[in-house]
Amino acid sequence: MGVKLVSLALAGLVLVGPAAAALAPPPVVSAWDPLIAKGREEGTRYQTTKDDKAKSAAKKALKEAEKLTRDAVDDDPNCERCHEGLVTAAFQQAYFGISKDYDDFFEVAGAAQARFPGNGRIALFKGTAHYNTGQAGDALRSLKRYLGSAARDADTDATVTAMMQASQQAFVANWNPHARFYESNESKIIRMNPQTFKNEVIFQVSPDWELGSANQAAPGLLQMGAVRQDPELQAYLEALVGKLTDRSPTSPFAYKITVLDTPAINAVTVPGQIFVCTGLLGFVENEGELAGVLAHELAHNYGHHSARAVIKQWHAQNVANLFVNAANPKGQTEQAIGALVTNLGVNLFVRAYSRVEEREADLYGTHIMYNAGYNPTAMARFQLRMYEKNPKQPIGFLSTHPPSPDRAAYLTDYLEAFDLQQPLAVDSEKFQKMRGRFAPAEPGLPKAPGLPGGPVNPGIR
Amino acid sequence: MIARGRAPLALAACCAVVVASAAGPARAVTRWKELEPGKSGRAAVEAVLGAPVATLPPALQVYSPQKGTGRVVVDYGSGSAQRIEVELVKPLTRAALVKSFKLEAFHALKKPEPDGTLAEYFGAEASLVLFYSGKDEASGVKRIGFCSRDRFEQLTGPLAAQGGIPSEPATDALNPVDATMIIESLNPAACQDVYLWAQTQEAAAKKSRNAGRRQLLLDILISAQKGECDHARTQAAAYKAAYR
Repeated sequence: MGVKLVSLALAGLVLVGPAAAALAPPPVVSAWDPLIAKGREEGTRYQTTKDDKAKSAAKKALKEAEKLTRDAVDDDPNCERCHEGLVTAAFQQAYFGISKDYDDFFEVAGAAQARFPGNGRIALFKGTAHYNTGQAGDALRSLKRYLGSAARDADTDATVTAMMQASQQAFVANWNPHARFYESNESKIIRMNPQTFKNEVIFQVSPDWELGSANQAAPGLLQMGAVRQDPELQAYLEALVGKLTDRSPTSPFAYKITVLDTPAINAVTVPGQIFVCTGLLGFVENEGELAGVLAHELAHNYGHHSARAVIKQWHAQNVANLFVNAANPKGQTEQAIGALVTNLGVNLFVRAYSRVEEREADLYGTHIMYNAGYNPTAMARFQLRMYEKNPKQPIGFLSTHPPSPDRAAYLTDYLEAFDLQQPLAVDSEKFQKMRGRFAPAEPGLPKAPGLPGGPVNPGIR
Repeated sequence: MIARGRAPLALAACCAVVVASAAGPARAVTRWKELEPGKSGRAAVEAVLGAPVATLPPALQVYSPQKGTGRVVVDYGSGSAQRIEVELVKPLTRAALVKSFKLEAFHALKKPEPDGTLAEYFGAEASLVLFYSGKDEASGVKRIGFCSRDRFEQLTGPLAAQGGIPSEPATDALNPVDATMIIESLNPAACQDVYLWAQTQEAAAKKSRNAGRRQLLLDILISAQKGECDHARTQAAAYKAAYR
């Protein structure tokens, strides 16, 4: 009901309300305009009366409008007005329940916005649709574009501002869907007991289990380089990590930081531990970039990526085993999981993250940075600098790591949702003093020596 | 906008009504009409304001104008009013409100709202926000926000972390890096045109498989987004010249 209020108000404002003057189409009336107007009128009547005839009439008009606008777009892909018409027809079909969801709308609106990113009407419809479907970040991105466009008026602005405030709260508060990981089914292996026909939890991830699995892998990671003994650097990094986690309080662990003397531009995490290579400390240009790398590593922890990978792998290996088939299934499962972790070893943490998880860590990391007061654009800038350093990155489909230019690009898109128009930290004097101790990384791409399974490519995992 | 369609009350009378209803920051957070954000539940709010006249999702309730004010919007969460925003029938001066709410002692930080208008956050104990009509103080305050501590921290988290608004001393002690922080305040909205233009070039740049072209475009996007507009514009001109 609440969602429909805003949506209805918006549809009215855009098409017939007080905002019509500002958002009114240009004087030239296209063939689809009367159809869209009729669709809106009948759709509104259907909402009020629940008269199926009104819904049918709305459907007929809007489908016809969609056909006309699609043909027009096919004839001239650069016709902005045609795209606007198509977006409007698709939005109204979704809004009035003529199409079953917003999927078709998002397809046409995405294409239209890519071609005309500054079009306020397209941005307004797209933002409202994202808002109505609970996609706070996407709603903010589009609604900001509306506010930056010429297609504005005070009444619509008020509605948009209300939607943005609600979206901002959701975006800031709900960035980590794994905040209650241990209570979620993702942290459990559940199987049906064939004797009782009841589901039983036969394995449950706990913080201790995660920390234990990390301890198994840590010795392997220490082979990357000698541990650097530098109390001042250690204290600085611990303070920085503490600052990041203090402002994003759903971290499941306290963190131990280990600095490794190696020219690799790299950092690696296991639950509760972060390994930072001195090559990275020489490469990052400011504290914001370092905070971005650390936030990315922390995000793997906030997302419980290694634990989720183990559970996923167990399911993949036991896909046919729908029933618990042993007298002591719980013990057996724990043993099997333990064996899985041992076999995966270091690879569980440095290689097993999928592209999806890497992307997730990048996006969560921007929130961790922002919450701590850092400008998260530093993370995108870091990826760009990695790309500049190594422009010929492998783009193979088998690579589990997104290439740096893609990471910089999707980070840039995502960052649109943040309020960056405020004072944010980019660097610190303390960082620059600390950085002076490390020679910039050697030209080319140093490789981390001695990791089980071969060298680790530079990059942040 | 606040007073549109209604006969505005005299400035002094309006100010008196709003402020007389408010309890200053000597209490936990600033209260209004005995309503305390974070504590007062919906029933208590509606006993004062009456039934809502509209709903904005997900949890905003709009109430009719009260005596001496415009509409009131209440944001509910965790079983209580987290934010109460009171529209004024006519913009009031900052000086009058700071004096009335006894805000002189509280640190304040200003930042623009999404629509470009100015907002001023009075930190920690006050948890009060003044929303201005325009981009500066001279435009006058059009809305006052009374917040719970939690909601206030949500709104100002990144700001508070930089010392703009005093945070808890314990937190500051844990953040020794703060003392040396280098803060930038830039305006990404000022080069949104460059940003949006660069976005239209992304697909072509990726398709070209030209690393230099893609790097330059990413540089433009990131600079524009960060608000480094001069750099973004210079690079955009270079891009257009090179890859026309």
